[in-house]
Amino acid sequence: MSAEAGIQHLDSLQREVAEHYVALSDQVGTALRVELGWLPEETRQD
Amino acid sequence: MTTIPNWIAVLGLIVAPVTGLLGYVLAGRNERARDERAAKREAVARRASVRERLDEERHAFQRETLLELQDALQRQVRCAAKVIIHDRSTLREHGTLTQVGPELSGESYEIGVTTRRLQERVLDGALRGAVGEFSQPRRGR
Repeated sequence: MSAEAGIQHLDSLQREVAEHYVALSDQVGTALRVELGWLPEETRQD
Repeated sequence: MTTIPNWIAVLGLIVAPVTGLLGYVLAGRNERARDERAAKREAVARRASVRERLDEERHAFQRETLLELQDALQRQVRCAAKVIIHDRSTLREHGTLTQVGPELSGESYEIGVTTRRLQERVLDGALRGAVGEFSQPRRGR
């Protein structure tokens, strides 16, 4: 793999990590709101 | 003149103490039964209270874990970005990948361990899996 191709791969990897982080962060936030009882439509895992 | 038969007179003497005794025995039994019912109700209430306390502790623990996990994931993504920036820079300068420095390597290791520890504390299986997937090493993919 050339250096240029490697750099492009890293750029796409960085985007992928950022998108993955945003999605996961959203999941954690939802779980947290459920635990805090801020989402009455969702039930806690009792 | 009317005479009361002796057996009725005797019966009159016996009935009052016997009914008194029966009343005493029945009152005792009722009291014992009432105490037993109260003890059972107390035991049920105690168990419910313990269950409720444990539930609340579990939820408090989950809240704490999720808050820490949010911070850990943010640190992890920043660390991953640093590694990618380092790799991009060395690729530009040297045309090849080199190892990250000990400081970044140590930070990456420490945040990986923290995230995995928090991941194991998450009760939600789907979220636990998602965190595990995110924490997989990406370099060289």
